[in-house]
Amino acid sequence: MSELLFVEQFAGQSEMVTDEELLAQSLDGSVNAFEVIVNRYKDRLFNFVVRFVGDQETAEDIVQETFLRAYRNRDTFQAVAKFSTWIYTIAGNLAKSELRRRKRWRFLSLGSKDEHGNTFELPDVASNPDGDAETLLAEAKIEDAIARLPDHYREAIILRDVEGLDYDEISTIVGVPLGTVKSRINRGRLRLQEDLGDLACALWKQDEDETAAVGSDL
Amino acid sequence: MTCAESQNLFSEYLEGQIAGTVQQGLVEHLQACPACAQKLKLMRLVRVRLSKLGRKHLPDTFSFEMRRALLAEMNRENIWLNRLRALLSPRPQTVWSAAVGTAFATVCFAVLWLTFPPGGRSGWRSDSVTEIDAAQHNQSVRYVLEHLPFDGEPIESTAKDTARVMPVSPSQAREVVQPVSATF
Repeated sequence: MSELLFVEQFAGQSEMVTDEELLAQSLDGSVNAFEVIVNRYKDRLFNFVVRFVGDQETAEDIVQETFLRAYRNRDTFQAVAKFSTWIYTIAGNLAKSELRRRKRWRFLSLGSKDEHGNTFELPDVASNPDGDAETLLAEAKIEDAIARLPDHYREAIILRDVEGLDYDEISTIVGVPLGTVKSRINRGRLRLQEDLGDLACALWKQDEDETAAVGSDL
Repeated sequence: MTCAESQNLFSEYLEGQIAGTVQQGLVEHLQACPACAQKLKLMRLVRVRLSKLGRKHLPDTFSFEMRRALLAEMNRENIWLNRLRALLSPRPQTVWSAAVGTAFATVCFAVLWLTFPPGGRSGWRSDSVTEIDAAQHNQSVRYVLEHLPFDGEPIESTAKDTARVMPVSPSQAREVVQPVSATF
């Protein structure tokens, strides 16, 4: 009961408390303080990991393992880096290990899956009447194109364009120099638009039509 | 500026990270090259679409599972912490005293054993040849030298030479004696 009260208290104040302060509190054995961190980052990490590994269940496991590792090693966190960078780094490393494990397995099983091991599927439009069917299909194709990118381009593109992290953070998370990050992002974007091909052109036309419609309304 | 060079700058251009002559060169190239201009426009569009991709959410059970895992982790930490505390707490002083006393007694016994060994020989000597071994071999070599004839060699000088190499190890002594017994 007292734990629940504590969480409720934190829910009100959590915006004011920094990640680093919460981590310091968790060092004194407060699981509740760490849970606030979990609530802050779980969806962001999940969005990053699920697009990186392309599999929801594995992504859930990786996110959970990320938090557990962060909890176990919370005394080794050094305040010179941002907590968000640290936790993204842990998640990224776990995701990369999973991808390496899959590649080894694919090599051993003589390529029983497709070339990229994609697991994304087109959404069931009928089951989602609220969503715009074309938008959903376009999103699915974009997700599919992201999944077809080479690992190092995909990681950089997700962190930059989907998660909106800055280049310095990405450089730390990925563990490569800033110039390499910029190059990977640029090449990843070029590959994406080449891969999307007709869809990109269709989106462009749609975009132009919408702009023209707004202009005529004005 | 070539098409490849201009395309390398697309991302930085879209994010406003280039300026000056580089930006001027890129703009001039885009005005002259419709293919690159279209690619840039598509890249801008793809970038916008990426930022608007639907957010994926973890299942509702995740928070519960996470809490359970964290509590298990905390308990595991506490178990080790309690063991460490139990080891270092003042209550089991008797265990520590007993351990230190046993260690001290063992060291004293070892020192005494080495200093005054039961056979009367000092255990501190590290070489394998003991005084008793050397004396026994001297005696046996002397016996051989006294009782066996040598060709033209005075017994005293040979004994002196042999004695000079003493003390010797048992194997060395056998080597010295061996040629003598071979002539017998």
